[in-house]
Amino acid sequence: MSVQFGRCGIDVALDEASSLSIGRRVGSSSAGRVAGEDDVTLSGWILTATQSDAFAARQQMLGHMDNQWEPQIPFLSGVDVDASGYLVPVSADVSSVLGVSYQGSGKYGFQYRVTGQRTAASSMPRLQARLSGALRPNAHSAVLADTTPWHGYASSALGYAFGARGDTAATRVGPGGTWNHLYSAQAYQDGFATWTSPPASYYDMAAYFSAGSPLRTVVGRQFDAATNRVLWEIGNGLFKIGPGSGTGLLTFTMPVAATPSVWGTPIVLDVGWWGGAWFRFGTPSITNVSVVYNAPELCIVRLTVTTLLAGVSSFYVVDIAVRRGDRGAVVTVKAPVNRKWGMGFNATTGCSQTLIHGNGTGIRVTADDGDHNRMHIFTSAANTVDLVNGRCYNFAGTGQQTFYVVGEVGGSTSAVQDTSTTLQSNFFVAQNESQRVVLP
Amino acid sequence: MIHQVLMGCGDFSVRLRPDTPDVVIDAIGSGDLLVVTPTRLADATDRATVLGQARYTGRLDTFTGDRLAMSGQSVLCYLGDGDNPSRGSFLVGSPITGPKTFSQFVTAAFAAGNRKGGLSLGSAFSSPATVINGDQIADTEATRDAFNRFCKIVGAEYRVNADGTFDWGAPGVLWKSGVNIDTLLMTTCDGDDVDINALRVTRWSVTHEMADAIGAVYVRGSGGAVSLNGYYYFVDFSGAGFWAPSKVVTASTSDAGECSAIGAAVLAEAHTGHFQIQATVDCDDVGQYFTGGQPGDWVSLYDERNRLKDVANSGVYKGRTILPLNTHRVIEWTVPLRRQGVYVIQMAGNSSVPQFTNSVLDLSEFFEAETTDPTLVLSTSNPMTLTDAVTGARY
Repeated sequence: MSVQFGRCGIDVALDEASSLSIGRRVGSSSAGRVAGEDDVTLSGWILTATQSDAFAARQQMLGHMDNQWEPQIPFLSGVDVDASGYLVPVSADVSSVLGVSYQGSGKYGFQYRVTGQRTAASSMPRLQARLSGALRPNAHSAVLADTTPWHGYASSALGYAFGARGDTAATRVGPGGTWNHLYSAQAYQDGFATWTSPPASYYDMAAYFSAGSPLRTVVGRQFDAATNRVLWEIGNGLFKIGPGSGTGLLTFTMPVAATPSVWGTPIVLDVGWWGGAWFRFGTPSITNVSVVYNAPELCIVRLTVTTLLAGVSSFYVVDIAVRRGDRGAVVTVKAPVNRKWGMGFNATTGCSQTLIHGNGTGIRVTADDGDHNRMHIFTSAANTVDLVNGRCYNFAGTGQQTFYVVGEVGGSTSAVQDTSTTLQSNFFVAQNESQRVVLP
Repeated sequence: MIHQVLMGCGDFSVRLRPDTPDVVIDAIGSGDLLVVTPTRLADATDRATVLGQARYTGRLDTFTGDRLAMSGQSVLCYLGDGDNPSRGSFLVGSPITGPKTFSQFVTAAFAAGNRKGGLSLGSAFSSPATVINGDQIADTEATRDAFNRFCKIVGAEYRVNADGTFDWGAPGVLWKSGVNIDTLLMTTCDGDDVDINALRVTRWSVTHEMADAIGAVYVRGSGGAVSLNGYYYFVDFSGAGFWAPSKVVTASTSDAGECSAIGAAVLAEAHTGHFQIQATVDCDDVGQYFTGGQPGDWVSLYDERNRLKDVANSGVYKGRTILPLNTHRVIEWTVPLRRQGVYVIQMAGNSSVPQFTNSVLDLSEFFEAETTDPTLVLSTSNPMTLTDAVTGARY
C-alpha cells in the first residue's frame, strides 16, 4: 500500500506506508474548509532505501505543516479511491529517522502521524488561481497594450475556465511533460481561473525548488542551505536554473527544441554590475540560499551572493522567481547600495538588441544554439548592451533591477507563444498568482 | 498601551506591577512626563539621553488603583488638551494678525512670550505658501485649534516629536509618501526586503461604509454661501440617473475662496464613504518604520482578498510581484508596551515654579508587559473633518 501526502515522496522512493485512517467530524466552517468535512489522519512508517532518502521524505512531510503558500495539498491512497483527495494540513508527529535499518529489512525510515482536514468536494474540488497583473514599470515606453498576460496549467486539468476573455490556448512541451499555456490579448489579466485536477496530477507542471545530491524537492522553506548552497535547482519542467561555477553565477537549461523531452546544454550566466570591466571584482560566491515562496504555481528563491570589491567583501541578493508554465525566470537583483546592475553570458555569445518602441529592452542571441534555442535577457530598466560578448547592463546606478532570463525554444522557428516578441510582452506584464481549493 | 493619533493627543496607559517598591510609586507625580524608548537603555541616566532615544513622550494625567495605573496623553496636549481643546497653550498676549503663511504663523506662535509648554520649533517641510488672514485665527483660541484650522484651510499638517520638537509642512513631504514609501503591510510576508520594511499583518479589518458619504456640499459662510457638487453614486429612485446626499456646513469665514476650500475638503473626504481599515501587525516596535515614530506616513498595502491592490502599480518584494495600494496612510495606532523601555522624567522645584529634573526614573522592570499586537488604523485622507476645524478637535 502506498500513500502520497502532498509532495512527500517526490524524488524519493517510499517503500512502505502501513496504514491510513479516516475519521468523520462535524465541524464549523472556516476559510478553506467546509462544515461537516472530514478529519483525515494518516499514520504508519515511511521506509526508504537509504537514510538520506528518509531525511528528505521527513523534510517534505514536515515542510507541508507550515507552508503558508500552499494551504491545501492532495493526498493519495493506493487502495481506496474515496481516501484520496485534498486536505488542509493540520499537524504532523514524526519520529527521528532510524539510525539502523528497520527490523533488519535493510531499509531506513521514520514513523509518522499526520492529520488534516478534508477540503470541499473532497477528492475532486475546484482549484482556483487568482491572477493579478499590472504593467511592469519600465524605461522603454511599454504600455499595457504591449503586454501579453498568460497562465500556465497542467494538461491533466479538467474543465479549465477563465471566463470569456478571448484567450488563446497553446501548449509547451519540456522534459517534465506537456503544459497547457493560455495567453491573452487583454492588456492585463486580472481574474480567476478554475479547474479540477485529480490529486495524482496536482503537481504536474508545478514550479519546484530542489536541493541536495541527488536533487530532492524541498517542501516549504526549511532545508539544509549550509550544505546545499551550491547544490540546488529551481525550475518547472520547461527549464531549470542551478548554480554556476567560476565567474558564472547561474546555469540555465532549456529543452532540446527537436526533442523537447531531453534537456539541452546548460548555459552559464553572469549576474553582477559594471565596474569599468565586467566582473573585474572577482568571482561571485553564493553564500546562502533561502526559499522565499514555494508553491506549485510559483517558486522563488533568494541567493545571497558575496563578491570581493577592492578587497572588501560586498553582498547582493538575487531573487529567482519561476512561474508554472514559464519559459524563463524573473531575476531581481537588490543591494543596499546603488550599482550598475547587469546580466550576461559567461561565454562570448553574439547577440542582437531587442526593442520595443525603438527602445532597447535587452539582448537576444543572434544564432540558434546547438539545441536550436536562443536565450534572451530582458530588463525593464534602461540598459546598455554589449552585443559582442552578450551582456546587458544599466549605466545608471540603482538599488535594484529586474531581468527576465528566458529561452526562445525553437529559435528562429519557435511557436508563436515562444517567439522573442511574445516572451518580451509576457515580461512587461508583472503577474502574480496564488492558488487554493474552492467549492466546485 | 500607547494610542497615538495623527495631529491628535491620543492617550496612553501604563500599569505597574503590584510588587513595585513604594519608593518608586511615590516618586511619580502627576504632570511628570512618561517616555517610552524602543528598548531599555543602559545609559538612561539623564533627561537628554532618554528623550534622544524616545519613541513616545506623554504627560501623566491620571492615577488610579493604588497609583499603580497611570494614564495620560501625548505631549501634543501642550498645544491643546485632547478632551478639552481650549485648555492648553493659547496665543493671548501676542495676537497674530495680518496675512500669514502657515510657517509665519507657526513661527509667530512659537515666538517668545507665547505659551507653548516648552515645545521647541523644529523644521518646516515644504510648508504651503498659501496666505490667509491671521485675524481669523482669533487670539482666544488654543494654539492647537488655531493650528488645526489653519492646516485645514491651507492643507498643511504638523507633528510633535517625542523629543518635544514641532515639525510642520505639506503632508506629502512632512511624512513619507509616493516614491518615498518604504513600508509594506501584507499578510503573507516574511520580514524586510533590502529596500522594503515589511510588516506582517496578522489580521485585517476592512469595512467600507457608504452611509455617511456625501456627494455635494453647501458651505454657508458669514458673508455668503458656496455650493459644490461633485459625486453621484446612489442609483436614483426613478431608475434614471444617480443621486447623492448633500451636506450643509457652516463656516466662520466670509472669504468665498476659503469657503470653497473647506467645501472641497469636506467633499474630498466624504464622497467615497469611509474605508475603515485596521491592520493588526506582528511587530514589537512599529515606530521604527515611521517618521517621527508616530502615525502619519503613507504605506503600501497589499491584500488581494480585501481588495487592497492597485493594478496600475507593480513592485517586487523578495522576487515576488506585488501590486500594492499606495494611497493609504497610517493615521492612528495602538501599540502595546511589551519590552520597551519606560521612563519617567520627574518634576521638581517648589509648587510655584516646578521644572523637570535632569534625572529620570526607570520603570522598565516595573511595568506590566502587555501581550496584544499593535493595531494600525489606515485612511486615504486627512482624518480631520470640518467639524474638527471649526469647533475643535475630536480627539
